[in-house]
Amino acid sequence: MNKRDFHKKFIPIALALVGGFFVGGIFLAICGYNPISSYTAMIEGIFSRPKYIAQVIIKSTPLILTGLSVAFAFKCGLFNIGAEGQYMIGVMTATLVGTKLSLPPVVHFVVLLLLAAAAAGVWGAIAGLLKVRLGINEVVTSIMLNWIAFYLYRYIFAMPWLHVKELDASLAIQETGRSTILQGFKNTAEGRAIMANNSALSDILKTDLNFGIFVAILVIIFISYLLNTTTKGFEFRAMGINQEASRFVGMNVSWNMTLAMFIAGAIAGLAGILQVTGIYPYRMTNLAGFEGYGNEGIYIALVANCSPIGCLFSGLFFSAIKCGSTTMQSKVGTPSEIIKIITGLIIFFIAISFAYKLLIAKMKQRKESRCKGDDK
Amino acid sequence: MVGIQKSFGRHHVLKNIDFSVEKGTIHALLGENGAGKSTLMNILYGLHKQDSGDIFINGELVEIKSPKVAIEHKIGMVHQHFMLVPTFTVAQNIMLGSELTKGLGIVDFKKANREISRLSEEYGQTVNTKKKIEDMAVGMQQRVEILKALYRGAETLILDEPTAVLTPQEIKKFIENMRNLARSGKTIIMITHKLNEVKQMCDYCTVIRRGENVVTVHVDDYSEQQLASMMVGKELTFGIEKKPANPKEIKLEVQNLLVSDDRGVKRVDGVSFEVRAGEILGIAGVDENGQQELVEAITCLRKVTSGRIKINGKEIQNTSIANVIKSGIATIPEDRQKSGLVMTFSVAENILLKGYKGRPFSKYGRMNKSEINKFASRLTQKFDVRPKDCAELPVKKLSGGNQQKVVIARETSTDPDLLIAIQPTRGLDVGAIGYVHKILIEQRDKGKAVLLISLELDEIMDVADRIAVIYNGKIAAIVDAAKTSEAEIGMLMTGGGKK
Repeated sequence: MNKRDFHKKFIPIALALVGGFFVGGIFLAICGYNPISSYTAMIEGIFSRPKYIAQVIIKSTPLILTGLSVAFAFKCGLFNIGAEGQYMIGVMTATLVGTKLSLPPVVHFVVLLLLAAAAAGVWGAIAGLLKVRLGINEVVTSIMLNWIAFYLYRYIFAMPWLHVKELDASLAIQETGRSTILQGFKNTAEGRAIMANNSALSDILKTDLNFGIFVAILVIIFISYLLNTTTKGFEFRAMGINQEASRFVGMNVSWNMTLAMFIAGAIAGLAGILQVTGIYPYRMTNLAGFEGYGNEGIYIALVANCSPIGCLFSGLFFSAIKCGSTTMQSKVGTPSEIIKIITGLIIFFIAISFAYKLLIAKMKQRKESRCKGDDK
Repeated sequence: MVGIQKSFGRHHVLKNIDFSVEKGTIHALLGENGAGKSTLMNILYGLHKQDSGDIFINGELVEIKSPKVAIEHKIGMVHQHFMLVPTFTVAQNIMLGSELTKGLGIVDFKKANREISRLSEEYGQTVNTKKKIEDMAVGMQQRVEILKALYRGAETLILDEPTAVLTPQEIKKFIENMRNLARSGKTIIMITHKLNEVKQMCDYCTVIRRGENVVTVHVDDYSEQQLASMMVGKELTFGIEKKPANPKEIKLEVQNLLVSDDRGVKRVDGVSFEVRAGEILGIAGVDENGQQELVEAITCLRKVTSGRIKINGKEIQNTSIANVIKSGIATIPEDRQKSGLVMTFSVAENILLKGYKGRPFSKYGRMNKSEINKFASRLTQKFDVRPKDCAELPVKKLSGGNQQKVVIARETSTDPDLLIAIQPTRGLDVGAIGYVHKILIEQRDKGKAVLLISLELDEIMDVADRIAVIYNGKIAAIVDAAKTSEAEIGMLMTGGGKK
């Protein structure tokens, strides 16, 4: 991407972010909250303590991955609205493998990761296959598959061999299958001693520290490489822009589509896997409704302009304002729901970003005609 | 129209155009693709607004802000793509937007039908007012469009490439009708780039080149050759130079082919022919006579009901596109933007859209961008794709003719046995058309088999060695291009002269 293209894509998004906060501030003012002190509290809630920063990063992992799932599918010309379902399949399979299999430490986690990602991938591929074979739009099937995944989750969850009545949760994933960092260590005598001397470290260790973010970054690197350097990625991108031409030059579009949905499903599944293996209590919890990571993935991909690297920043950004808003609510009393308004506004501004372009074109035109007028 | 200027963005489409038309004449607006003909007429019809310049109608300065204003000034326009509602009748279509009513918003169909019949007889263009548009031939639909304009009181008619969609017979009738209209005092402006029609029917001709008007002339004073050179700005030789064909072994053989369309209607009905190495077989025919389904069957985009398609003696029907390509068929598709190119990809990526898997362009599934760009630069030079050094430019930034060169570069670079070209010059200007024809003949002389499918009879006549005429899903006849005439082919194309 050259510099001009980058600016062209980046500026509307930056403007949308600024616009979202600005108009959000107006809403706050109307409702009687001071926007400046609210936003200050939000920023404090993001940066003021090591724990907060760690929290933002930890909570960004599932957002980044579902965003990446949607963005990748979009690059392939598919709309993966089924990230939610794939996420749940990931959580479910990870829990099954994590509780029922007993394997050595690293091996257990790797097996769990591969199996659960594959299961979520298959869930995604079903939508791809139905599109390829029967011509059913993947949006329709993935929405329905989300519900199937949801009830499947509840069904498995209630199984007596998995369900723990007292907690209303599943069995916990064994320690060998978790993606946590130093969580065992902090409860040892030695750990306590070190934490007592180092306040920053103890602050960070109080969070659900896990290596999910590194997995997410690895996946981003992998997807970027896949799309930009490999022949398969070339086929994916060609299919994303012009399916008919791809078919015309002899590419196997049907297979590629199914494969792309598999990959998208696996990525969304990873979000669920890393969530359940990295966050206390390492169990499936009783779901009353969707957790919403799938939908969040859609706007994260949108703000990232469907760039894999962009998803990292976009995911971190939304995680940050989510985390910051809790502090805002507790400190200043501004309801954290405001971030939903801001998010909505940002999406709205991006959607109308073509209006900026029109505006710029119009301004240029006016300038030109004025120059002509001067000539006369 | 005086001193008309118009630019889209930074692109100056019209630079100081003067254009005037005398009442009661047929006036051709001649120019290459992208010369600005349509833009100029869209300004006159109020679809675009000029940046500067004035429009006078009958000596009076007018400001045409919208088509509605144009209609008030008795200007009508028939677009290249008709604006008709297929499921409505002729009368309904003609009235649409200016319905006759009995009051209270109740449409008076009887009166409308009478009115339209009267109009159509007056101008010698009889149409059945109760017929639905979807049941009518294209030529008739065009008459409806013209009647629609007349019904709204048009005194000046703008026609955008009116003959592009017509058969030779329909064109003849059309010319007659236009002459009638002009005689009865209507003024006709015709956008075109077909020189023979300008000669046949127009009184005056204004030539536009790259947004500037070159000259307005009396058509009778100039030959086609002279008009053409004014249009492109350089001397052109007509008739393509080619040596006689030297056909060798059979490359493609089609036997008793039956193909149905998506609705299950039989569109190709027992077609058989063969194409030999070193010859160009042209398939002539009016649109919608089965050409599309035939080609789709050969390239495996469509299932064959029965019959055989053999390439080098090997059957390929109902296999896969990948297999067809592997067997040695390359195709220049009809719609390059839709099926030939990935518009946001670079020229290099488009050139390698087929060959990306082979070495040295990729190794172990990893693409080698520098090799790809090197190869593409070589091809773009060889095919003179402009602008220079465009290998890394997105293909959408190229002009239509250069986009087509990219497709041709790719399709010929795979060294195919059979090259299928479907309407390869559609939408291209005279210079590019000549170039494409040259390439096709070059391929033939290299010993390739070439199958050319085109709706342009001139193209088939100029380029093909043998001509198969398709009519209603059947091959009406296969004739030697050197021994036939446009009249004979024209008859065969429309179902006449069957043996």
